[in-house]
Amino acid sequence: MCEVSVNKTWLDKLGLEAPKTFSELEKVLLAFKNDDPNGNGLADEVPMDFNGWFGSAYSLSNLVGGLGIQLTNWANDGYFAEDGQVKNFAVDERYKKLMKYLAQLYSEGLINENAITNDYSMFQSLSRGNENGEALVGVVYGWEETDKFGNNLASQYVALEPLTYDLDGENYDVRWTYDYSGLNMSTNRVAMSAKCKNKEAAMRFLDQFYTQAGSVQVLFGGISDGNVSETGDNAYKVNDPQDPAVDPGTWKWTYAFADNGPMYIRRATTIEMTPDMDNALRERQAYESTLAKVSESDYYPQMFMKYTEDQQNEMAVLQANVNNITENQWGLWLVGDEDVDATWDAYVESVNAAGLPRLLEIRQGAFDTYRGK
Amino acid sequence: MAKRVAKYFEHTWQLWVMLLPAMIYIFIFCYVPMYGVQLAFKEYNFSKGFLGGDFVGFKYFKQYFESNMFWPTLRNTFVIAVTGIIVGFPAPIILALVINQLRNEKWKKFVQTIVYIPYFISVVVLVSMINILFASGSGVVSNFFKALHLVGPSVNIVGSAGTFLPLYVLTGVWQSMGWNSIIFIAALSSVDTQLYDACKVDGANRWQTMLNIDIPALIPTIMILLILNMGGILNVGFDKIFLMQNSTNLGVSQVISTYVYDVGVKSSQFSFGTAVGLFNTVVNFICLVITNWVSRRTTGSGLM
Repeated sequence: MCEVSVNKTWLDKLGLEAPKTFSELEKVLLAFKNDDPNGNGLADEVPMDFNGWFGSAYSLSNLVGGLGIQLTNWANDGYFAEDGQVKNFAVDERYKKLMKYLAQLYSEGLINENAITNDYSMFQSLSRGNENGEALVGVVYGWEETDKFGNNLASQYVALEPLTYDLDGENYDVRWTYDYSGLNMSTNRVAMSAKCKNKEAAMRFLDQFYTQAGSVQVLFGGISDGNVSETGDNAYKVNDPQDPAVDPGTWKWTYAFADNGPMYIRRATTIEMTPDMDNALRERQAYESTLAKVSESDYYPQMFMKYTEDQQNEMAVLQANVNNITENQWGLWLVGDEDVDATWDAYVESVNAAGLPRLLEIRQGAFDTYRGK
Repeated sequence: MAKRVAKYFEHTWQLWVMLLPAMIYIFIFCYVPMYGVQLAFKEYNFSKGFLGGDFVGFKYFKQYFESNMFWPTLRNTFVIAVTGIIVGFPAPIILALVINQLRNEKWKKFVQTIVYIPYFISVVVLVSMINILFASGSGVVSNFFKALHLVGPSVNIVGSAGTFLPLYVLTGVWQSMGWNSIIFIAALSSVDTQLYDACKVDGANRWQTMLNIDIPALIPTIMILLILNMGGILNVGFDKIFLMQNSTNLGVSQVISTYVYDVGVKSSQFSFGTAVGLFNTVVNFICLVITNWVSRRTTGSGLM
């Protein structure tokens, strides 16, 4: 799940409070830009940074929660559910308001200009500051603090509670993307060939991944490699990275299957984790009350939906055509090459002409079946 | 008749043996895989393999022609390819003519080497260089262009639809100009020196010499290379475009090859991808045949 971090050291230096609304965020970002909070005399601060375009885990689209849209499992391609209806925020009025706000921020120089062309590794390295150990980024989207900022700068940042949209006098029920199922459960991790000669033996092999000890090792690293130790009957400890310069998150992703492996972590298993996971849990406390608002009629886990082969083929082509428009328009609006108000109606028309209604129809059918309707 | 053939091979068998490895290679890797083209007319079912699946005729071609991405991808591909040829084809010729004028042999070799080194940079490295050097704010080259007022001060060269085409084409010319000029320099060096002497005697200046001797000597090479280039006109390379694509320039950078990747590979629509690819190849072939015919009519030389 994506969390938003803000540099607390900078806020304290400038005598500011952590922002709670969109307008407060703008003021804080302006102060970050103009008042040299990292104290090195250069205007090298990047007020806000992000990664990805229209809809990815760490992109600005997460802010759409501030207007009351409940996203699930980082909402691939913009789909979400509201009152049992499958919708797409690409054509929603609330997304339009968000893009106008973001375009405003961009025109004031408050968003990293290179964010659109930076890849994930450049995005991560900017958050780790410059060669002198000074922080460069004010507000950023990430997974967890040591993973994002490195061991040195992590202490400067705190998690930011979800922001509320307050620019038009209306009351919005703030939501944040609910990613529990996406993070803890996985589908389609293992496939076995129909031509496998000894299926039983293969199944016994695969079964090992799902044993208690096997699953812990899939996620955090091997016991014989020294990355995990068994400390009791159902208890394990994840050891610190064997190279102290590497943060625990990076270590896990290098030496274990990590989140992409086949596993089933039982509730009865206790795992003493490295600081990064504890941090991640602690940092997310800021989001607990917001996440508790999700209800059955606006929870849309796309991974559990089932479609026929014909439906999948139809959706593949239509979705590619829709994405071409939404991905492109998102960027043009953000950098100000096109004006949101002027082009909104034509944009919605073109997205609908590319096949969005048919996609929503197919998805609604699968969603209703999932909910048992 | 058989006697004539036998005699022919008696004289030339060594040449055929030298040719044989290349012929086998082309047969195995270019002709044999052609049976996969039938995927474009079939419903690909992975459990039945390449040869199974139901015959669906032109279903996927129709799907492509009727999709809203047909005109944008076709237009973008053509614009990028044609601009690439218009800008990129004369550049090596001019460079070859200029290098040919150099007197000092050592200096000539030195310039030639420097000029074709960029060709060996891989596409991935080249695009990384572009992203760093042309980055807004911190990029050395973009700041240089802005200081010379060649580009407006607020323009993001890598993140803008208007600058995509010049950036793509000009970096491509920079990279391949030197390498492509080699063949022209070779053609020029084979010009009989007596012609140059005759020119001097007639009192022609450099410009007239170039017009009357150098360029006509290059015409056969130019026409053949032009035909070869036209054969690849719609093959706007996937690699470089894919790496340079970002949210703001999708409108002008979504070409047929990246669209095939999007739908055909990422979404596993293999039949659709094959159909679009086949369309691409057929158009290339038509362009090739037309160019060859035009070349035959106008200059008398051609490839086929």
